[in-house]
Amino acid sequence: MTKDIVHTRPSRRSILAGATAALFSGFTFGMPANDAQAATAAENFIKDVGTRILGVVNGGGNNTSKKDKFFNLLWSKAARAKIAVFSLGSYGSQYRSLSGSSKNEYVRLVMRFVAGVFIRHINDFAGNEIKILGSTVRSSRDIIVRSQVLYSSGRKLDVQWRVTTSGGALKVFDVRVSGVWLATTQKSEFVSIIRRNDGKIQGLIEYLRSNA
Amino acid sequence: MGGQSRKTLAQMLWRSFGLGRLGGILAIAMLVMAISVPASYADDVDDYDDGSSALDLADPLEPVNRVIFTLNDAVDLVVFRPVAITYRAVLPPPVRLGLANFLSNAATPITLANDLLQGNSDRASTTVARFFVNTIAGIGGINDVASQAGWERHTEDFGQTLAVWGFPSGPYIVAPILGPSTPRHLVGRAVDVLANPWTWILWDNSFIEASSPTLATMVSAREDALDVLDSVRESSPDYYTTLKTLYWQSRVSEINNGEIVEDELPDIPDIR
Repeated sequence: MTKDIVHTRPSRRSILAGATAALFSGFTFGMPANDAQAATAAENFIKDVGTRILGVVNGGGNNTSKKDKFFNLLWSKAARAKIAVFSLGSYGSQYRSLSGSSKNEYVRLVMRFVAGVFIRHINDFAGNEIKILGSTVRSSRDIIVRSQVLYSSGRKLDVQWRVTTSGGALKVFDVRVSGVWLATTQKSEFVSIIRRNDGKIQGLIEYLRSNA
Repeated sequence: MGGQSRKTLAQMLWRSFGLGRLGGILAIAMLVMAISVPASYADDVDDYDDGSSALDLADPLEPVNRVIFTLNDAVDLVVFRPVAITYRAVLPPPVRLGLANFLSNAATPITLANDLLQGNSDRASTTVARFFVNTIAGIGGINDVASQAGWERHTEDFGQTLAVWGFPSGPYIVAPILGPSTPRHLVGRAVDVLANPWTWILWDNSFIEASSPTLATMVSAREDALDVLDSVRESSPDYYTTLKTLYWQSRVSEINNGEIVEDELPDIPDIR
């Protein structure tokens, strides 16, 4: 359940005050110390990931090489298996019936598909900087980080991230742009493909092999 | 306006059929569609397809919806998209932006009324401030100087108000011409048309004049969505499904004023 613990980017003075309070009470910025640490870690993680993404967007190379770079970024920073299983919706149980190699192939194809979606919208993310606005700790493995992409034109794009943990490391589970969650959108599309293939995940894998 | 406001609803409905006022016709069509949804579906409000989260919208009418969607898409490809492309080609960006700003400013009464109906005085005061600043300093609303001054644009409609009041959305409906919707949204759209002063101000004008705000809004909105829809149409595994989820997630976001409602989020799978 939601803890409703909100972490807003603090000023330098509030950092000092909060750190002092934490020494005596075990709480920071009105939240338990563990959650404060989780919030800070998630915000730093997203700052790093966002900066790397902007590096891919604004870096050299054609879209094919950018897709490869973004795929590598996804591979190391995204909660790959969680995203892949979530995208199956009510067909998620079929993931368990796949062999180890089929699971690996499916997860790899999903990440390629996500990278393809990103490349199609790459110009929308050609900002200069990512600014972290704050975060909400729902649990140790479910943290929402709010950010803005800042553009040279002065435009600001609100982007929210859902951060989870996998293998003890922070990973991105979902991203929300203009009110739309990407994993939720992908889930609807994947479920539709599976339905059109007699409810078989193999139909989705075939589609991804051809289109990811 | 005084004489217009004394018209009864029955007169208005009759005249909208008789005179072909686009807004009135759309309002009636929306009301009819909304109340035509089988009760079993209307009661099914916040049932979600997999029971996974509030971001999934039930679609028990999918076979019918897909037929209407196909027809809508054909009309879009033959009429609306070419018009939007021409509109983009003929008018330079500053002119299109000015028109979009003007139309947004003209819709202020609807946003303000719904700000108040939702009990949101802060947003209502922002709406009023934006209206006066943009109308006076922005030359009739053509320039959105209020945004530059920190009064960010927002929109509200009666469908959102119904949601805030706790009315369920009902299932997904693809309305002819109007596209993705729900019974709650259709009722809201109809009420907004009836409550819009422009519907009454332009009532006795010719069809083209009376329909011009609606048509201009449709063209401007379609031009704004050209690139996104082209991209989705080209790359989506299922255009119908993608538009459905984009519509519903955007709608949920609008209702929540852009905020994330955590209870509406799906669970993260518990695997490594």
